[in-house]
Amino acid sequence: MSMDEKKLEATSPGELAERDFLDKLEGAFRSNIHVAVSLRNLIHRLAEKALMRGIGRIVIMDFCGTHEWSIVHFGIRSLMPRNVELVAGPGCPVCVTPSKYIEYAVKLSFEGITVYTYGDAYRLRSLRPINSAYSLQEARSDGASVQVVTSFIDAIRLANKSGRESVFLGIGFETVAPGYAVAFKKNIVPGNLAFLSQVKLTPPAMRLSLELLMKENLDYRFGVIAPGHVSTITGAKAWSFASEEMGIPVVIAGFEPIDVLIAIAEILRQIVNNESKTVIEYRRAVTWSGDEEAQRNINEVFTTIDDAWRGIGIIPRSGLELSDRYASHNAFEKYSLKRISSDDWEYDLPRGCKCGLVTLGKAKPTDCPLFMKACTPDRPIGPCMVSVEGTCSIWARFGGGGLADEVARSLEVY
Amino acid sequence: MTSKVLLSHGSGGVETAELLRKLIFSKVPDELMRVNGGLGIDRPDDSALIPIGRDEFLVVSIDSYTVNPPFFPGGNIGVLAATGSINDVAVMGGVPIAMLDSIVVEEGFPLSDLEVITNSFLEVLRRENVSLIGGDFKVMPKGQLDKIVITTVGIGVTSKPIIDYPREGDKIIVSGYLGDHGAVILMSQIGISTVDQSGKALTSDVRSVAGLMKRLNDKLWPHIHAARDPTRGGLAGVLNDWASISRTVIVVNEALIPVRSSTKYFAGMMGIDPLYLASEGAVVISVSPEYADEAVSIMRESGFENASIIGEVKRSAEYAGIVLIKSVVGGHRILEPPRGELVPRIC
Amino acid sequence: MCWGVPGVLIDMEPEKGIARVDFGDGVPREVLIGITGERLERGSLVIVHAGVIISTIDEKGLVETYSLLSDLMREAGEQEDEGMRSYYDYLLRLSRQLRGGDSS
Repeated sequence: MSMDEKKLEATSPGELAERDFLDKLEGAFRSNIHVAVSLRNLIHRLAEKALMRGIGRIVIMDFCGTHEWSIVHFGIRSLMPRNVELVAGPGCPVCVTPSKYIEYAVKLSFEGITVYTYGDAYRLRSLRPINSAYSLQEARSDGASVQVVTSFIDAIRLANKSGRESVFLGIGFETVAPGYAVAFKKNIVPGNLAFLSQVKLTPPAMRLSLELLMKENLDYRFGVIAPGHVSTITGAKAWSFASEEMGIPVVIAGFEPIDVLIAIAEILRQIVNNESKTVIEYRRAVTWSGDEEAQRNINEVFTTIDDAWRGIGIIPRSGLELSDRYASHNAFEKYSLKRISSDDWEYDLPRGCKCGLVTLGKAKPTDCPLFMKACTPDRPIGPCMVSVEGTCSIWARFGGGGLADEVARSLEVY
Repeated sequence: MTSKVLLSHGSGGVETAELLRKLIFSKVPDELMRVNGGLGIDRPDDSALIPIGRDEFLVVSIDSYTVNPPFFPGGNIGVLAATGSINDVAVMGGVPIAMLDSIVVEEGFPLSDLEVITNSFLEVLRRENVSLIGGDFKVMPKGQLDKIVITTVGIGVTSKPIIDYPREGDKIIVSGYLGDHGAVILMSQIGISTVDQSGKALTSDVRSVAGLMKRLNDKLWPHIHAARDPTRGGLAGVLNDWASISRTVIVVNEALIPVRSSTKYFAGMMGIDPLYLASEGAVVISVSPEYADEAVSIMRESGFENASIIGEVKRSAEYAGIVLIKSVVGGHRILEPPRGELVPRIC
Repeated sequence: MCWGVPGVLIDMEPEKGIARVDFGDGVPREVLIGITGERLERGSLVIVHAGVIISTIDEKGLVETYSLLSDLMREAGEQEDEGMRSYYDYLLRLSRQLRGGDSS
């Protein structure tokens, strides 16, 4: 039976049942106003308890751009008590991709090589222009060959079809890495498709931001919403250092509003009780040890390297490079592109831009002098504004800084 | 910033408006921005108005259709070009009576495909009783045009124009599922090379709203204070335009906005908000609150079963121009105007 | 970093590391299998990120999240009301349905 016939056979009868699953899942964790209201009340109750125990201010950091997106999209900040603040940490692989590597991709695209990219990195601006193009988007308007794809498998299919020399801009975290790994391991990546690995590892970045924060004299109590989808691969164990070594409550959460609300409530409970544990809220998808085969595949196909993070610097053992076995696919080798080392790392953010600090959770977008003045979604300056997932972009577009809340209050639409 | 025209300049959002302001609107003398006594580029609306006697107006609209691919689930560029301009006239309160077209085709385009497209185009005119009173046809050398571009001018008449100006207290009503057309086009363009498009999944919602608008306007004029078909830029584009024209705040409830589940799931997969996706067979109106229920009934009786009141217009000196959306869990966010190309995301 | 969406697994080609998933719009799409193959079978509810299957939806996990929630409520002295009880039933039904039992 051909694949097409199989596809038809498999999709026609069961389709309704499949939709039904997805609808019910959504009903369970998104559109359930009763549970959301109960959770909101619970969170307010817990925050009051904290106040009674002398805990004035509580800051909860999310480490995942998609958590920040959910918080803004569903207006979760507007449901928080006054003494609970939600802030965003380094959760955007686009924002932390060094300017230099974008310049590499732009350069290749002008040399007649097709560059496949996710939509996220398509608009990302570099510090220096290549042929007057600051981004892959601008390169494309200048006639360079740039194609937006939604997955590596799309790029594989398109490269197979065209037969042209091409490069995949492989950004991402542990989440997408096992997909890249399996494609190389199963040998389905065609010879004409090179891979520019920008895969970053999240636990080292979380450790760094938390260490930086802990060095300061915090006048607040602190908790962390840990990345749910990274954890499907790494397991919850990847984050336990924060609760065990640093005494910070950590909850691995799903991305629906009810997931996030439960995570916030659990963090508050731990703070009130003076506990610090790593707890999985996203139990339908995350286990303590993660997916071992995925981890094995990543280790087989990639080597861990000290990697450059935009606006932050080199973080030890925080990136993945294709291992020697797959060197023929490695765009760095194939096109003699140099990896940034600690000797030649340079601060790669525009002047005044606080994206580095925003990414580390040490500054809010509204703390940046450029935010919504020189730097807007129409004319983004820093990567945090360029990427739709960037904290600045999210705040600017959805009023994450509290504008939505202010408007709602002024109109009394609560 | 950039010295070249980018795709985002043509996506009908903030960038398009800015470019046009710079290139065109700022250079047209005020008295030439409209025909005396009518409405023109001085106000962003669906059509222009030209007075033709006491309280009677000619309604005129122009649009170019450059859809890639020209054939999509649920229609083709011919259906779209005819329907689009009819709808633009209709949401202005006009009764469409005539159309002009200009077809530019790339050398080598299959004649049989062209005939399917023109047949579909004419079929819409026949069904809507709209005369074809003129046109143009050109061929461009291969490679100088992407397949086919159709431009249409829609012409209508009305004594009951709807010049968009939502008022405080108005209810915002949509006629049904939003975003189907935009989802289909995006699906046809991105990442689905292995997919058969036999129409089992999503189809475009392209259809005329002229009959619906006539019924609404006959019954409810002048209580409909704004009407628009949410094409490029989607519902988010329409509501932001309205909030900014009328210096109000528009508040909508996300749970009440009808989005077909396949469109919702497709948009979810692409990481795109369906409220920014185009519809080609839907209308959004802003109507006095006392006529809101009647408007919904008229829509439902006219075959738009999913018509729904989704929000209202509020006065706010401080926050005028903002669209606020209440999420399914009771929080709030700002519904921003559309900007940039719609690109899928993984983050 | 992790825009992930649920979908239903339609079929697999494990030798290529590829599967097809319906995300609810009725169109099966090719994705890479990022996790242990044994966790997957036709009909599995999976989570896909950037075209990679990164997890399955575990039916026990659905109910366990409820336990976390109800422990939180209990400890804070909140009453388990009708709405919460029906939420539990809802998750339980979904969980059973996932396991392939009753589909009501």
